[in-house]
Amino acid sequence: MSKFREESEFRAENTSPYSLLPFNFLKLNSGKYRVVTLAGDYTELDLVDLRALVDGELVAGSDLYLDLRSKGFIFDSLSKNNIALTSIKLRTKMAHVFHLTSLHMFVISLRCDHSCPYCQVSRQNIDSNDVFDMTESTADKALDVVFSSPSKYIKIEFQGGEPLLNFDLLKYIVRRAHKLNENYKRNLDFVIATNLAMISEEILEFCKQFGINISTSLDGPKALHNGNRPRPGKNSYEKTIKGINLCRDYLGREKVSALMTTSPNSLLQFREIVDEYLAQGFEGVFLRPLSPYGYAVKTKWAESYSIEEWLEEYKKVLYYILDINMSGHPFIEFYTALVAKRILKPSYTGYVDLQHPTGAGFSAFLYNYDGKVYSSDEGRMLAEMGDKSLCIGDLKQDSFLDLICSDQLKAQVGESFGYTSSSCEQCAYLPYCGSEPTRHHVLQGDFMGNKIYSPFCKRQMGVIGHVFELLENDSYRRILEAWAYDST
Amino acid sequence: MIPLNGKILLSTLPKIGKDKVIRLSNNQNMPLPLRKSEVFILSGREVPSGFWGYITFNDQSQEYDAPDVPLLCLNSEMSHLTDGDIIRVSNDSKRVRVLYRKQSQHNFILLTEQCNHYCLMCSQPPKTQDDSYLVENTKDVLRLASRGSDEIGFTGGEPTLLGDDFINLVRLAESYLPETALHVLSNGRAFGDLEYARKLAEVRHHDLMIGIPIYSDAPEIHNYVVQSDNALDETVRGLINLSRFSIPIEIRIVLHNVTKDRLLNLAQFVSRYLPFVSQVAFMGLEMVGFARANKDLLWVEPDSYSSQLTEAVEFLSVRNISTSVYNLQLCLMPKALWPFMKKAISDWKNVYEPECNECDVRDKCGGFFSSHIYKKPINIRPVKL
Ligand code: SF4
Ligand code: SF4
Repeated sequence: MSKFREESEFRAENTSPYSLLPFNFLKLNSGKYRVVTLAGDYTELDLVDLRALVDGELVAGSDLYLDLRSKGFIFDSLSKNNIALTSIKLRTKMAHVFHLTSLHMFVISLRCDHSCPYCQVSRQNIDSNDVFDMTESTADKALDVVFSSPSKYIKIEFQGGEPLLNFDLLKYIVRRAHKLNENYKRNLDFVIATNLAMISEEILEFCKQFGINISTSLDGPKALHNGNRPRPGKNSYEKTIKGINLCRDYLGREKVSALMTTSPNSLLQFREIVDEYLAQGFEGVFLRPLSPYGYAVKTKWAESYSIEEWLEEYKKVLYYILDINMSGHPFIEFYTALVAKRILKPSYTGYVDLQHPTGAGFSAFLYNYDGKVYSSDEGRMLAEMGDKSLCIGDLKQDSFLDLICSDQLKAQVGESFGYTSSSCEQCAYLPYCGSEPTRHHVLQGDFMGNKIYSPFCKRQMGVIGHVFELLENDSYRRILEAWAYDST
Repeated sequence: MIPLNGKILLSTLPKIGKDKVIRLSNNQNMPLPLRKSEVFILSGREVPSGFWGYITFNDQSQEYDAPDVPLLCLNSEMSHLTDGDIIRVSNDSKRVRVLYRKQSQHNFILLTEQCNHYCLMCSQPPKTQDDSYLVENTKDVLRLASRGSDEIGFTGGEPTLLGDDFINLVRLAESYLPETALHVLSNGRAFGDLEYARKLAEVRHHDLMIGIPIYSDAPEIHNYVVQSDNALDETVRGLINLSRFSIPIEIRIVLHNVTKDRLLNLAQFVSRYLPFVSQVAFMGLEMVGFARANKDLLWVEPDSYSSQLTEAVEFLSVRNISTSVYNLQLCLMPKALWPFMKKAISDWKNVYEPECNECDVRDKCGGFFSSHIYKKPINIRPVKL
């Protein structure tokens, strides 16, 4: 007599069997399997359940069935939307492909007052003549390319050498970009990557006027920093700290950030480095491994520690950082935060150096002082060492379209795309990872590389796996959620 | 509880052959040309001339010597009516219905009683007969309503069954109440048609929110609750289309025995696929309409799902999705949930139990629906701070 239909009438077993959506899996030490969809949703299954899932033998309506369907591992006649939902999520996570180039690095001078052995660039002496400086006409052409990119967000980053050695051109570029932007109306941002040795009130006044951000290098405590970053007077640390504080006085805390580079000396001092960043009032630290380019290759620093050693130290110091957070002081390790975002968030997470397809070129162009254009910072270094394969064009003759469609860029992007390569395609961590065409090109001679021999892959596996482990602990999970959702 | 339906004890209003929607006034000094479209609320002996009609309550009319004006005498429970309120007087002069209360921040306007869902706990059970007069009523209300109220609501039935008429009503709301937010309760399925979603977006309402219920991440459960095949799939498609046009969305989840088991899964589903929603509202079950008929199927003691609810709410709020809980009593929920618990959505729903008089948090607690007499939670205990 009831006007209402019974629950059983709506069940899935009344309908057709389920179909699989794409996923990968990885065996864990526990014997269980971590199973991850193409869109990055994950679960853990034992072998019996994994087999059942794959063989189409899940019991319709069981908790496991409902869970796997909700997460997008399968779909049935009740949930045909799952295909659309998966593709929307995937599309969202690769949003950089639609935005195209947003980061534009201008190498306005190759000269530098420092002589850091790990420098990725073959810098020139401070008083070398100005053939190592960018000219106004080159800058004009670069800006034409910048505003030809369809990206709503444009970030212009000044690099060197030491970009402040060519401050006149910097001012010229900022003013001209502003002028052009009255027409183009993009979200325009500037950042100067500087060692701060030459920072002055005059420069900061200018930065304040145009809302320019400052990014500097701080390798750790004084001895470590000065050891890593020699300059005449051996006072890089003092100058950096003084500079950081002066920048904050003028621009405010959030406008100044610092990066560190791991040298063989720093590996065993991670904790001291964290303490230094804490003491200097930073909201976090980015524990970067050393890249195998430039002077770093020449000095053999790159091979002086293994990724296993790095991982071990990384995990140790990460626990230290997590403890600091648990005691109530928020402090972020940015690489971990990025991985946590990738795992937890459904949205796009912008980080040029870790994207599928690669952010190099797609998301970032580098305009060298001489007008050559590269897909990444490292590209110019390789070119100076004689390898021109990452040079995607020359401002003398190439437009934005020429650059973005250049054969060199197409090769980098296409050949390093994890979703279609035998190397990464079946990896459970693929949705959280990214391409590293430059590094694999250097170490293995092709943009994809064989991931079995790839230190990059080892690090990714290590870090991502570790973050998953941390997520199982409620207190750590809360911190990682805060890192993922509260920070930008 | 403020009654919105009243009996007409006596009417000498002019007959117009159909329902009349009219605004009330107590302004004795209203310019004459304006009076003929208003009804004056009599109080005291003054009977200013020229109004279309006059209202009194109960038999107060006897106090007036010469009620030879068009008079509407209502039961005294309607004496809350005041200046700026809008009522509908039925054609047969038997009933009035309050369509808009100027003082209220919770004016919900019923657009239709027809629905393509048939929810197990529907508080406003759908009807099938033609009720297109409601669209005309709503147009009148929107044109008469005084500007300045913070929010009005459109409810049903399912408003989008009205098709273009619904879009039109949203347009009128924007035109006549340009400072007032509009909250629409809809199941969202109609927006699975991208063009329909586009039409809504093209109205460019300045502050629109569509409240859409999702009762489970599992389609069989959601579809069962709303008694309709393909419901979840179509609703989700609608949500995605609304998000393409950046139309703000609220997800509404009614808590009962059929929905309580997958709250965390549902929260995960929202964060996974619908991260664009503006807010999520969890709501205790109101024992009216079908919910009363399906009491045995639906009733569950709220404290029995309190930990799952807390987990789901925390999951969403950590992810920056604004989340609230309505219609549940503080004493049944852990303190961790209290910051998310809001007082009832409507101003005429809060009632309290004898226990509540002893309670330290009574002023923060939403208390009960007046309908709770049909089912009172057993573990109501005064909270001592
Ligand atoms: S690089 Fe390694 S961790 Fe990253 S997707 Fe490829 S195989 Fe997986
Ligand atoms: S005793 Fe009454 S007022 Fe106090 S929390 Fe419970 S329901 Fe609310």
